[in-house]
Amino acid sequence: MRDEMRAHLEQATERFVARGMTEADARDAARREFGNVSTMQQSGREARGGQWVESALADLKYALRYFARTPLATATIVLTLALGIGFSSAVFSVLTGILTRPAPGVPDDRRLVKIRGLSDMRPYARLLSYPELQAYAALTSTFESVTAWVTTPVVVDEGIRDLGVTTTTAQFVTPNYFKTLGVRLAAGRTFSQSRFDERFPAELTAIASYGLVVDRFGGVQAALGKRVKVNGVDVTIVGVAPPRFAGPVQRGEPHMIWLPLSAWQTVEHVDDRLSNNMFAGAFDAAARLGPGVSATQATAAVRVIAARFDAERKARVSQKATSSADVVKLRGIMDVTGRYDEELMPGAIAFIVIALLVLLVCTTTVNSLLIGAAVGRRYEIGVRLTLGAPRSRIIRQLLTEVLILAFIGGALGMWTLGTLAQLVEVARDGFDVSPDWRTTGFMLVYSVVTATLAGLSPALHATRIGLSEMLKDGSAGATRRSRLQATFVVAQIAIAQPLMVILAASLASVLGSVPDVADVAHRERLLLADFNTSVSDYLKAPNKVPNVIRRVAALPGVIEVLPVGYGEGLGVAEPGSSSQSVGSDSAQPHLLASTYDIAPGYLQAVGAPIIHGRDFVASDTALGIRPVIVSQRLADSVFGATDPVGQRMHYRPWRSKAGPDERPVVMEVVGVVRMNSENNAPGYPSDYAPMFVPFRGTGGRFLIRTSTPAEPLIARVMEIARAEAPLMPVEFLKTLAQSDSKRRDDRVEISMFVAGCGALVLLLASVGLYAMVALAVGQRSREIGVRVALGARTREVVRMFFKRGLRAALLGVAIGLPIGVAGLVALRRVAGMLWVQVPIVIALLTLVVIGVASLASWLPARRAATVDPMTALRAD
Amino acid sequence: MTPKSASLLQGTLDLIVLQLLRAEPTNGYDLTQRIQAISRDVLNVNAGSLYPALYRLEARDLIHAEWEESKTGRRVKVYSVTAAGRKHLADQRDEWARFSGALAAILKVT
Repeated sequence: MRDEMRAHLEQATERFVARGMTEADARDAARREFGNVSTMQQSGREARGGQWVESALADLKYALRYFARTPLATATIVLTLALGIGFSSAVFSVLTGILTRPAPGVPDDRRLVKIRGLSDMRPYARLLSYPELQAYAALTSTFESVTAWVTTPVVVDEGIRDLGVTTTTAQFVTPNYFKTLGVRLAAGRTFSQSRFDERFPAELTAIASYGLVVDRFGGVQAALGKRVKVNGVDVTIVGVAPPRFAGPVQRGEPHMIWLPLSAWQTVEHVDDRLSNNMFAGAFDAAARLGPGVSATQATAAVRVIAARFDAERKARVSQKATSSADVVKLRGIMDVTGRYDEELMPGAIAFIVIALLVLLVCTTTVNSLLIGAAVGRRYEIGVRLTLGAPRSRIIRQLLTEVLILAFIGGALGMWTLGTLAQLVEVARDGFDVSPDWRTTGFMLVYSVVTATLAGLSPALHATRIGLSEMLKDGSAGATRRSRLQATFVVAQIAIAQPLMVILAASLASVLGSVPDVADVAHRERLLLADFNTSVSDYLKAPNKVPNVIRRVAALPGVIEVLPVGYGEGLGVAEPGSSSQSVGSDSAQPHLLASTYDIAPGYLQAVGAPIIHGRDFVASDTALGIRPVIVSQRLADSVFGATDPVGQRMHYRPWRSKAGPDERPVVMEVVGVVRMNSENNAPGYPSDYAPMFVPFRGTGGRFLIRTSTPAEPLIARVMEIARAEAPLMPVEFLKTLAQSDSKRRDDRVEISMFVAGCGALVLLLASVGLYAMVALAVGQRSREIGVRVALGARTREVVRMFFKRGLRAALLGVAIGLPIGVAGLVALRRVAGMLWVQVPIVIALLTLVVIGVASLASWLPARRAATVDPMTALRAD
Repeated sequence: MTPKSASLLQGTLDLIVLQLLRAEPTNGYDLTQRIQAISRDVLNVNAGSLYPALYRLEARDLIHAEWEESKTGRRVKVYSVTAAGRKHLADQRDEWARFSGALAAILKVT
């Protein structure tokens, strides 16, 4: 365009020269005739339709110049946006990482699926038998390949006396395991056997996890070719798994070892009959879908097979539960024992709600700041409007500025998130929660939404200004806008309240759950052992558990070994005086209870005092009516003020998903026990009240009480179990202190997260409050000047503005307080707080919020004291 | 340019440009001179009106532009009508003929 216009001017100049003008005069005449070149270029661009690029660049340059002029305000807005957008992106990233991504080391492949065994009774998930697996693997039109594994602890002995032996989790896998999952080993090779069903001869090789070789085997290269004893059997390490890989389903264990299924018989001394037994469910399975096959289609195919096996099992043995199967995308979060979709949903929803609240607060804070900035720019905007700039152009300019800040803030937030995620990953060796393309896309969309929400209203307000209003102080418009600001601040402080309440409840929960030193010492001396006797039962092998217990009891340091049942499950407890059978919506007091069968002395061993009545005695198992010891909470709920000891109680076990049995089991209460907040009986959610019945079975779970810390005994117990009962897998062998600390760690993490949220929201609200008061001071500087000139003391002036900010804060507190109180009352039990603590916490919380808000009001109000009356009056 | 001519011109500039370029492809400057000459100074189109019109027609693919060397050795951008432009011109001419005929009939009424 420029060249063309230059050519035009040259031609016109030539014509004027031909008429007799001088070169200079001809050029001037040509330019006059041509008109304004830049205006014409602009019109030309508009005619071509390409001017938006030029004006976008112009907006960008203008915005950058503005940011350079106001660095403090810009930095505040960027940091606020970084907090809000970064935080929300973090929540999004973590949620997608946990909910949708595969376990570390497993590629994110749409075709990788889990074949889940299902049951209609708790725990709703079942392991698969080998014949069932073979049937699935035979579906070659549905699955390209199927792999399966058995997970069991093993003892690994490197033969170095000083290092001792280590208990590690092993997976005995079908030889096509790594290939099916698409996992590339970090070093070495995979098994020599390669087909799904290759089980003979026994291949005594192993692939070790990265963590295991680094921590125990002296590094990757040193591990390859190393011979170790696994359960006393010589095995050669031939490969190393990639870093952080711990199986297709997240286990959070850094040490793992994989052996081919053919080695299972030798290493675990499992009879091969197990492989043909359709009742012996021992396997997890995953598969790679065939090309073009969907998970839905695969589910239909496996359902048919599962139904066939179910029918065959029921034909041979009376069985209440109905088993089935389905196929779902393989995600790392899936565990054998739960349907994670339902269990994670409440937590996921809570996170999303918190993220939205933070977004709301962040947006209103930025909005507040932008309103203040727009009022400060009213002269600039008014002049531009007067000079003919269309209103839409200026609005676009303002929105561009906010968008740029939002992107910068979002990028800053994402970078922080990325760094934090790496720290978290390194610390936890867990899920991949680092930002990926999905998170980046989310952040971009989020930034645009935030920028629009935050920036549109101030932009519209700012450009509604007329020339006369601009030339005047514009105070009427400013009052309107600052009222909007005040409303935002009040809303933010109100929102901060419930979050702070959750913060307080979480902190209380964490603090309450930190056991005192004596308690930890006590629980370090309690070892819970779980021997899986079901395998030997199926094979009708002799029960070796008594031998194991006898030898364990004889170990130095062991005081006693108490049997513990697996629990009778969950059910509904009601007072036994009801004459008719009651439904779950009955007016009778009833409570969801979890039942544990224990031996006499168990409660004392775990440090739960029997505060009323008595403990079980050996003869209790022979009583006609089952005796029961109830927790204090259950006693209070079911019996109220009545003394429960000697009372009858009805217990209706929850057998199927449809609800509790109609016919209750009649029990008699013989004792009441006070449980501490750790819920001494692990396994079930804490909103079920525990109750205890005498142990009657011959199961494999035991509580071993020791006089010295029990952790060093773990390896010895394993050795005894191996020696006495090689057919019996050891499912669980940990001290209660180890279990507690794992549970506490999870709770601490969640509490810290919520604490962060509450603090974040309060911080954002404070920023908004600060901005509001600062704006008021700035706008009314002339008024301040007049007041001071007329004799007002600066202290009074400062107080005037401070009261304004405090008023907004108190209003926010007043609105948010009922919500906060309601929230705390609801969370009290979960947090383990006493009733008397509730008003104390509320009072403390209110003081904190008011304190922070006061500071945020007082700091800018102080600036009013620095206003020089002469300068303020002169600036009219 | 007289005010009366200006208001007529705005609606017909595209028509004028297409017609003249169809007769002989040329550059922007020569086009302004030719409009002035053929209309005997009744119509005087300045660069500020002509070039946006040229760019508009070019964006609609009704005319095509190419840089060439003029007789005087200067590099100029020469515009020519495309096939679509010729069709559009024929339609516009018919439109104009109908309009001017109707106007003439009205103006004869006493």
